[in-house]
Amino acid sequence: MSAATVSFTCPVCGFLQSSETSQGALAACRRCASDLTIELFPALFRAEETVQHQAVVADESSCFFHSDRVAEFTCGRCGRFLCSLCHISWAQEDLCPACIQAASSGPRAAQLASSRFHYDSLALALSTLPVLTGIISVITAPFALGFALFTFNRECSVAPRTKTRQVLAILFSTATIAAWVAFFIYAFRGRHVPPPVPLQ
Amino acid sequence: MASHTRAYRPLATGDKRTWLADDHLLHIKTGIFGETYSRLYWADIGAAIFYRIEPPGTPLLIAEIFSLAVAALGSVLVSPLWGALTGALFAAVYAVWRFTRPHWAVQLFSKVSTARFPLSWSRQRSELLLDKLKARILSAQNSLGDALERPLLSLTRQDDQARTKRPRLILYGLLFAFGVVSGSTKATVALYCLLFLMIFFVPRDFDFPLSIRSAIVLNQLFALVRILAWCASFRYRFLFALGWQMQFSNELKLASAIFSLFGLLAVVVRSREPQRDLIMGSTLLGLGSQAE
Repeated sequence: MSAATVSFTCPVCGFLQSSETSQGALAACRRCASDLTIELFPALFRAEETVQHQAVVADESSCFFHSDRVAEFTCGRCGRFLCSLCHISWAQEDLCPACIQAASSGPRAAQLASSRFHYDSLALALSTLPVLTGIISVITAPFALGFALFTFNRECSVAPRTKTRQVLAILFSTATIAAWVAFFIYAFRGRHVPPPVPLQ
Repeated sequence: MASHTRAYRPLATGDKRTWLADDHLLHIKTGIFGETYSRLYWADIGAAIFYRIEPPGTPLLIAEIFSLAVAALGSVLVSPLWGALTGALFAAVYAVWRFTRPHWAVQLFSKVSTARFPLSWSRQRSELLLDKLKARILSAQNSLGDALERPLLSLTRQDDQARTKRPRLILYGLLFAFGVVSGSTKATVALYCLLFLMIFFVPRDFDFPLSIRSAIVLNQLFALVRILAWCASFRYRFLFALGWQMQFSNELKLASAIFSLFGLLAVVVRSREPQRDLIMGSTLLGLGSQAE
């Protein structure tokens, strides 16, 4: 690959500088002298593409969404004809915007997800942290157990993630409930006054 | 497990932050009870900078001295057991950080996003991981080989790295501020307690030394003991009559305050980098690139 003059910010000290570099070249930051290896890839030099629209002429298929534009692609899901403007290449498929929107709530939604909520971490926090406060855990432990069970099958990450936190949350909250039940039974028995024994 | 999760493989064994898929790299930023994703498609990655993570020497030394001083203070003035426990905790987390922290990191750039993540503690291992990334990028970009006629003139970067650090710094700042004043009123203790719970779920920043975080944890342990004692004072009225603050000597308050001030120092040192990023990062690797 050809050499290029690249301006970059040092990731160590944040100093903005320019350097002539080529693939895999070593560069030293001018301020902090950190050794930086800069790798350049072909995408950096890729020309920006502009979408060219072609008007429909006689006997040509037109885009489903733009009747005045010639169809260049077919949606891999719904089969609609698409112009270059409506065509979206996603996950090695040619799709239309409507199918992309539909996919965002379907089984492949994870590929579009930008965030996930950690139900398992919240369940674990609910089951463990209130124990520190003592009496509050009487209320929170059943709630934590219910929450952990209710969200057990919820997806907490698009990346692989174990169910350890949820299992621990269930165990902790069950143990807390058991401890409180044992405490109340013990307290109740302690206050129980046996009936007087009738005189013979 | 859902089928899509099988498509992701960790970049390195045990790495929960960076995952590889067939057509993209998934970078996960963990937050409080959640995570956000950024995806860099192999075909779009334009550049990578491989660099060594330099630990901040002087602040780290100050952090260590402060932490050990407070552990010793607790040991002498409060109880030998408490001091030994806090000291051992600090030593343990510090040792873990010293011996396992990543020394090398990489920053990847595409037209629309960037991702910065650590690789490994050894250079050899880090270079292997970098080669793994390069192989994927180049295999995805082979078809671009004939598109090098016109160099890219501008590439803007979403400086999300700097933006995501700010809330964390605010959180740390608040925590230490409440750490300083905690004990003055029950409301400050309650707020301190709330932040104490939150801080454990704050995302791990690989640039942020663990020794600083460990000091934060020690500071929070002091707070936790106070809170537990406060709760106990309701059960044992004679403690309540004495006033819950009086259960602890002023020396412990001093230790907590020192920790808090140390934390403030850590925050100030840490906040320099994001500020620089915000000022200078608008054209980060943003190229007046001229092919020759």
